[in-house]
Amino acid sequence: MAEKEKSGGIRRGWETIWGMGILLIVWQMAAGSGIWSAYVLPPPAKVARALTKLVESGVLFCHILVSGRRVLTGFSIAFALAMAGGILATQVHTAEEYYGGLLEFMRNVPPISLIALLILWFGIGEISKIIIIVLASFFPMYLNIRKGFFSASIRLLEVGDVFRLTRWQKFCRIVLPSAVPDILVGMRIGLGYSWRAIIGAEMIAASNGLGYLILDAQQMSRSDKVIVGILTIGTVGILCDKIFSLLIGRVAGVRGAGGVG
Amino acid sequence: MRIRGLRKSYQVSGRCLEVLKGLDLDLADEGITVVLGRSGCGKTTLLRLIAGLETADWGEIAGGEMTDPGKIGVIFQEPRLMPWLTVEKNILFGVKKKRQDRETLSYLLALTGLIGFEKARPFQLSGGMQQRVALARALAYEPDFLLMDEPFAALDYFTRTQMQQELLRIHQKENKGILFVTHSIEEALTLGTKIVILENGICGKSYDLGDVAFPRDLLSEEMLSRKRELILRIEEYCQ
Repeated sequence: MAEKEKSGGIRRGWETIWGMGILLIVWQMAAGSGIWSAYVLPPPAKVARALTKLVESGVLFCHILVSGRRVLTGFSIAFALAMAGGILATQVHTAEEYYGGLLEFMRNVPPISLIALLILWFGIGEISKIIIIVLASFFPMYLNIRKGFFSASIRLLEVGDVFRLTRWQKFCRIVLPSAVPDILVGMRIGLGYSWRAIIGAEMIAASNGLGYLILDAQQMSRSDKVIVGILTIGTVGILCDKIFSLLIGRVAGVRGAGGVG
Repeated sequence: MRIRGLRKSYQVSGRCLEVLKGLDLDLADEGITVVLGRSGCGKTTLLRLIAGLETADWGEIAGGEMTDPGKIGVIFQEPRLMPWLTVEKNILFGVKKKRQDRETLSYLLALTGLIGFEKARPFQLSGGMQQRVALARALAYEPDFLLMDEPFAALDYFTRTQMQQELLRIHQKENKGILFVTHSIEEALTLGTKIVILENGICGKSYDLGDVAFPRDLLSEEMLSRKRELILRIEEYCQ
């Protein structure tokens, strides 16, 4: 079984490499056809040169670190808020009636639309950038955490009742562990959204970060650097996603494929 | 434990369905009392009321000199184990941290035949083993009384028979009072020191089997005649 999974994984790896290879060939052919100028569609070799230069100078890593720090800060704050909101919703039944409407409203407002107000209220420093990331990643995490908390098995909660656990003990020992898979899924989606929001966040007068790298390159008409920035965000996003999918896989492995028995 | 005048009704599709209609029952502190009845006659409701998982409309449940039934251990139809915990952590789930000790855990693992599976997860165990973990968990809680709601109903014949024998062995060692709910006449005759028929929301005739030794041969003349008597009685109620 394990060998079958391993060979499946290797096959998927080869398929991905093939897919990437085909994309590179098509890209090279399109760039070399002369239909588009190198400014509109830079050839892969030019992008690779730009990437090498950015790596060798260490500039790319600085941008990754700065963006990573912003993403991590925004994501952590959003996670803490989402957990607090989820706990409040499960522990105080009427609480959600008060803030549910506001959350639903905010969920439908794109964070980028708030940039003007955020600059006005918080200036052009780090706070505005982090708020954009918080707004982008909060909702997928909150909704998944909430779902995890509310879908704790009644049958397991009754076991807690039999052992005369208090409401809080039942939450800590049954509801919270039951919700771990949903929490991890929420975190995985939330982290993805955080990386997606980085461009918007770094549109606010940033002088470093991957979003800045892309926007600066755009203004300097350096499409090759724009593509390097996009590729870097995508790659870092995939790496973060892989970490979470490994974690989710571990949790699923510990619990088995079945339900709560 | 004594139960007096227990009433419970549910609202089903706008209609009031009275499941228990003033049920009286005395449960021995040490024997196995089997409540026998058809599906839907209120056996599980009775058990849930005693366990405190539901509130009675009327009536009293008291244990010994106390006004409440005391510490109750429950074994449900399904094992209801925490899938994220190992066998040993599941067994100790209801025990307070400061009262957890390796000796009791080892004793329970040996008692329920789970030695070697301490670190296993519930999904790695068979149905019978999962029920044994549930039984060990209930015993670790050191209850005054054990409630068992058709715990072997989902098991195959061979595992069920084995589990019944194990329950008798454990009962002889632990000597806890047990209320065992089942719809199987054979199971009632195998385990019960007292069999009570639950029908029409009250306890009907009860049968004392305290003088019949374990293990019982269900094919013996005596047990066959008792089985016939129980079937006749239940059929009488059904008419």
